[in-house]
Amino acid sequence: MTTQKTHRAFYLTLAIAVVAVISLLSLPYIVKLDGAEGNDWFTFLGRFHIVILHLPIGWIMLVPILEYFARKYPDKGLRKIIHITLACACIIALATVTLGTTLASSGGFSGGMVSDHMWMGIMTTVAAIFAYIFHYAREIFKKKIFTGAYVTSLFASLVAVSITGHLGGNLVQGEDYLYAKLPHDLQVKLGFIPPRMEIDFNTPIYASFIEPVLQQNCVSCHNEDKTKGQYRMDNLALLMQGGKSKRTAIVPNDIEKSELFHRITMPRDEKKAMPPDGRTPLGSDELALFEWWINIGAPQQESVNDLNAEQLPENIEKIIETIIANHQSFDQDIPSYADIDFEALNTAIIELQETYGITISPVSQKAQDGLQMYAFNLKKPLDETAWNAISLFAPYVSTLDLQRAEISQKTIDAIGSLQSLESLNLSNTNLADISLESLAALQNLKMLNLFSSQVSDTNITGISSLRGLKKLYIGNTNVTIEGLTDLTSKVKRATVYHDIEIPEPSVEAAE
Amino acid sequence: MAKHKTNFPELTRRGFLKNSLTGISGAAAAAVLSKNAMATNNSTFGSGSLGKGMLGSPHFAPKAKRVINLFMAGGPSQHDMFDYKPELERLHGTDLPDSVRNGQRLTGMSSNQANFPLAASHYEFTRHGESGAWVSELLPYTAKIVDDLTFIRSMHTEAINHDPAITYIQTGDQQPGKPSMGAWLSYGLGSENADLPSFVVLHSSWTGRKSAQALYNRLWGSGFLPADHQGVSFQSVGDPILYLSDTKGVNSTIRRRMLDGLAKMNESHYQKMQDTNILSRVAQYELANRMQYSVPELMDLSNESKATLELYGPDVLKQGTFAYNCLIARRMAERGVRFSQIFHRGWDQHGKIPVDLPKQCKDIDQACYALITDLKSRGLLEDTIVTWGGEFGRTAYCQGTLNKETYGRDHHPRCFTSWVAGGGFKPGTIYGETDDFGYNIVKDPVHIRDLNATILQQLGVDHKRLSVKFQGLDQTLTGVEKSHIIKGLLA
Repeated sequence: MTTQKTHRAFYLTLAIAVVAVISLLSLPYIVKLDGAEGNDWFTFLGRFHIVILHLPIGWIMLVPILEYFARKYPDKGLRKIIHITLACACIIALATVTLGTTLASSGGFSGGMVSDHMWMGIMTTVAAIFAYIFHYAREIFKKKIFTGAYVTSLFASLVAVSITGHLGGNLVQGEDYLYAKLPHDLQVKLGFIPPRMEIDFNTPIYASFIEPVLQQNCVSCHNEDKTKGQYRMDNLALLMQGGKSKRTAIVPNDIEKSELFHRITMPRDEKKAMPPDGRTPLGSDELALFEWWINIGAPQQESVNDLNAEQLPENIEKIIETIIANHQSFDQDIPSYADIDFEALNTAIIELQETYGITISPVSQKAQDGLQMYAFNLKKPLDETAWNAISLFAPYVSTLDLQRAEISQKTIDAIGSLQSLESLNLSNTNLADISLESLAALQNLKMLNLFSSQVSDTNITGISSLRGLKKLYIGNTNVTIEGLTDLTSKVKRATVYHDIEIPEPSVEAAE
Repeated sequence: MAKHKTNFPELTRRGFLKNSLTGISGAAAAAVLSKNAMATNNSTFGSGSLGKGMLGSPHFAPKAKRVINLFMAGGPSQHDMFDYKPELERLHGTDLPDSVRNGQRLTGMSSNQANFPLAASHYEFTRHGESGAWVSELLPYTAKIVDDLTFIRSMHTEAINHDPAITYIQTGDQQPGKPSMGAWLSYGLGSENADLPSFVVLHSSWTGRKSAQALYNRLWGSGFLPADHQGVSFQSVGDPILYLSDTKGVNSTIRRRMLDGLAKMNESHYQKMQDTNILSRVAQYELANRMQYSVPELMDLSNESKATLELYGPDVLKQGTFAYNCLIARRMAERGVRFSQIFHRGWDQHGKIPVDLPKQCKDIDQACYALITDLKSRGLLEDTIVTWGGEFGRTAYCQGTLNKETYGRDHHPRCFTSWVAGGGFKPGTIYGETDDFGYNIVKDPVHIRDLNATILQQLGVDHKRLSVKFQGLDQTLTGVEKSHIIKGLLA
């Protein structure tokens, strides 16, 4: 080849490169990423973006390796390979950008992350073209300046392709894809995610049980950075509002009009079914939770304990209980009596059995089920010595049955320190002159049996802060209709078993 | 015996007596808690129903702690009580199609009948409660509590005659010699209240036909389990337990000294022989001694409110009636008795259903209602399982002459109705379905051992793992055939 011919070929290439760079840079101004779904054919073609995108990454990254060897073992052949590799990388990068743009514009993408990804893809290609041109020029004109420019633009292209690839990965897999499987506390330590919030029956329903489902299944495509269908779900107000369809996403109390619920319950072969094809659809528990939340008015700040019993069907309560249990077991090991000194424990248990006639035994063979205490034949009232012994395993007592026993104020106060207590039976006792205020500390209490315990309107108020209570027995006591009405307005979730006649129209209370 | 020896701690005299006195053997007490739950399993074998059970603790957290079994001996007619079949009214008097009977073996009492005329119930059925359960006019009180009950219309068994069938449902085997359910529970879970037996059997008077099938004490026997797990059967007339009151001239101090002396002799005998029956006997003496105080207190109804007594109906104060026994059963549930069983006989209506069945139903109807209502208001239905049923059902066809006054029904094992309440069973449920003839099950069959397995499950017991090696088998209440936990029955 003559020098003239060589030069002509170079300028021709340069001209093509300039055209390519100009069109690339103008691409974002021509194509608008508005989140609208486009032509299916374009989407079809666009999806080949995913197929070919690894080629430019690989080829661009191959160049510095070849460059290293070309310098270490000067060889004309290797230099030619670099030339060809760069050319191929530029062509395939161009194709990738084109297909990517097609996919983004027709596939309903919008948001900051998509446009960043697009810009970085363009920069990668532009830098690769520069690198190619400078490499070409260096071969022809043998000027040092071209070597510098070549190395700089190759480096720029490498950086750009890494960023583009990362953004693209985030777009497809979700932003937390890379670190999601790290141990939870390490993720928190590294600052990837905020520490887990406590969830229980007293924390807001939305933040505790609904938002995490959205975070896990929806938000990766519907956030500020990536906003498919112009719909954001990372913010409660926008979540309720809806997206491009102009239909309201969530209409409190009206499941029929809530577009979001339609989308997530559509048959999976429907195009608009969410999450889209290829993503895991929501599970039946999650759907049930969603439906329930909308039906009770999509409350934002209310907790489960703020609801009335009839607002909380049994199946939902079970789902929520499971979520809480999983959440807790995720965070910490449940303390169990198996962790403490057995010798001391067994001595105390035998002592209590023999002196007081109180039996302490494991609820089941699983230590995490805790201990139960009961006394069918209490030999003497539980005094300070007894409670000192009981304090050894107080954190593990889940059931206490003191029916027909003699109960003093001290006993009630001591019971208040059994913080894990779920079931307390004080039936057939005399609590007439005893304050029940100390029982307010029992926030895990689900069942309280005060049948025939002589309680009255005056001291029954002591238990009105037990919001997690599910069953309360106050039959055959001195509680009147006023006391009952006041109580049921506070312990809303509880079913109250009583024998008080309720005049028509009947006040809320079971039985 | 050599094998059993390993199950016992070395006993000291003090420990031995302490065991007898407190109901907790030294070894058992020391093993109340253990790092390895299984380690406690066999260490208390023979400590009796007074201490902890053989399992140490339930396998998993129990939903229920005790059972009250209302057993209608003879086989109540589901066709006239619960399993309403309007189709039978249309087919009344026509022959049972062979395709329905399908070669089913019949008892000798009706197998030689020339034909098998289908018999519609003489009684009117209506739906009740939110569950819409069908209940006949014979059970107006039961009809009021259907929303607390779980009806199983698809119970079935293989046995077709009383003795094998009742032995089967009580012990899990048609052959005599196996422990009954109450004995298994006493053995496995032990007692909650050391002053009362963990398994009590009550017998009720009945007003239907006087000649009824006999019951035998092996139905509440302990089989190959230590003898102290057998049901304590209360007398239905006079003293519930004979010779419980102190004999003239023997006060409690003298009795105590006598028992201590006896225990000492038994102890030395046990050291020589290592026979578990000696332990059982000592345990029974000591329990009897404590029962001198606890049983009179249990049987004393003077503190029951007027409202409660009225709930159970006019028979409640007559000793030995079903109503009286139901009230006693409630009092036993309050006092932690693990398994209370009330037998009511006279349900074997081969003839004269319209004469005898209404009387039988009247015996039990209000008391069943009262028991459930009473348990519920006291919070006891939370952890007490109440079961009602017989050993099999009765045929859709008539035994003898078909007319409105004297029609009868033969034994029918292919389907019958039982109900369960409380203890985590799903209230207001109607489970299982029979065909239009009420002859075969068409949906959700529940074998008697399935129900037993499910009850054990609610008590925190894996029915396969409550077992004892005997005669070359790992014996269980549910036998060697496959049993199913029926999830559809559970809340």
